[in-house]
Amino acid sequence: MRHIPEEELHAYLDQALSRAQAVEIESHLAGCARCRMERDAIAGLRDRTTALLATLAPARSIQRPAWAELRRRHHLTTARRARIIRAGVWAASLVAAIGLGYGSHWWLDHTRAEELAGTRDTLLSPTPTVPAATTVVTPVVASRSPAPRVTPTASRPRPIERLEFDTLSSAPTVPASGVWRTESLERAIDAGLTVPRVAGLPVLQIQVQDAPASSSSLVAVEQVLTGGELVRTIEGPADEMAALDRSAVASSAAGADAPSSVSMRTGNRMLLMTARIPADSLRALLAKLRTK
Amino acid sequence: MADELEQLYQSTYTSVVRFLYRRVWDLDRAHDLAQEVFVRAMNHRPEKPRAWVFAVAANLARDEARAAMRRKKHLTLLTNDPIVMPAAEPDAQELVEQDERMASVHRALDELTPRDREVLLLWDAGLTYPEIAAQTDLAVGAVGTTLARARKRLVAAHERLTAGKMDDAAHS
Repeated sequence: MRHIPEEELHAYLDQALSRAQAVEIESHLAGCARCRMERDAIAGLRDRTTALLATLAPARSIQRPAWAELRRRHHLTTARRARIIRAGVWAASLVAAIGLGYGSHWWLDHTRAEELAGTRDTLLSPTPTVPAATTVVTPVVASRSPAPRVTPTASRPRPIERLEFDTLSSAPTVPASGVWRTESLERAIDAGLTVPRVAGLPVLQIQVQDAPASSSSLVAVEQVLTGGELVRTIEGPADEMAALDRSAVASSAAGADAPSSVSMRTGNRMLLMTARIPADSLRALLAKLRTK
Repeated sequence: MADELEQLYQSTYTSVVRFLYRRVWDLDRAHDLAQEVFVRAMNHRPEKPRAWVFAVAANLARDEARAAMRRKKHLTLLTNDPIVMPAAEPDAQELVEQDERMASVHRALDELTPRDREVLLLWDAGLTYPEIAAQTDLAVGAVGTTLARARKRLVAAHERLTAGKMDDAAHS
């Protein structure tokens, strides 16, 4: 008589068998004491394993963050990816532009050299097409014509850094989603975070919202003026900050004594500074800002 | 679809964290990785989200273990300490202070082969035989065999480890 192999008994107890297989095993068990003992032993082993593994639980209970928080992270990662792609495309176009510019220089020098040489047998002289329009400049057999001077506009790169100054109608608020932790100045600097603060003003509090890469963390600094007004500065990735900015505009109905805000954008980073002081004063503070 | 994923998140997040915790032994890291898994799921929109979530979690845990191993190697090279603890030791030692029982199970689990351990943890996380098979490249029929071996070895290793301790206690 064939007894039930142990792995089948495991699968049976784990309810991993088809109904037909289970019925077959049950009918065998009904008539086989040895397999019944084996089944009980395996059931005990199975329970023991489950009990042992159950002790491998973290000391703290597992708190599930809100789904909305994950959606926000997802949104940020896709935005970040888009930003990287945009940066990549821009870099590629810059490389292409420099390449074309260089190429057109070479091409102009080359044609000029030929002009100077005054040779009549130059059959392959490039047509004066604008180099930026096509990447492949097709040489055309043409009668000798004076090559016009093409200014290589494509080789002039756009300025890389851009500063924007805006006065917002309302103050940015710290977003409710995401976990802020309080950090000391020394520790934040040690961690390589950008800590935006006005030189000479006492720092009340530094709060950090971590991101997978420390370079994309949000850092909020609260300082106090001699008159007691709070100055809050938040620095982070531009797309995130822009969202923050919009949500602040949407959420707060700006009253008469609404604090003024100034935002500054440098490349992919954005900084928001807010205080209940006139916008001019705030801009003066911004000039005294230190980010390291 | 979004709702489906959200429901899965509500029902399995805790299991995923627990599963990851047993691989990386750091609750905060387990949370980070679990969230990473669900964020990725939002991008991928997998057809079988439950199996997918655990497959990605297992991959992340493996990468994490490799990175930890590299860090440890570097550390060993840097410190040039003549007394080098075995890889699992410091973690286990820390846990002894917290919970001796847990440490012995942890060590017993460490004695399993990586595949046995993975199959056992996946089963414990609530995956079915076909789901485990798909993830570990085992035949469905082999899952039972692997689980049978893993369970026996875990219990045996644990008994051996705790029996040693009890003897020590009896002698002292």
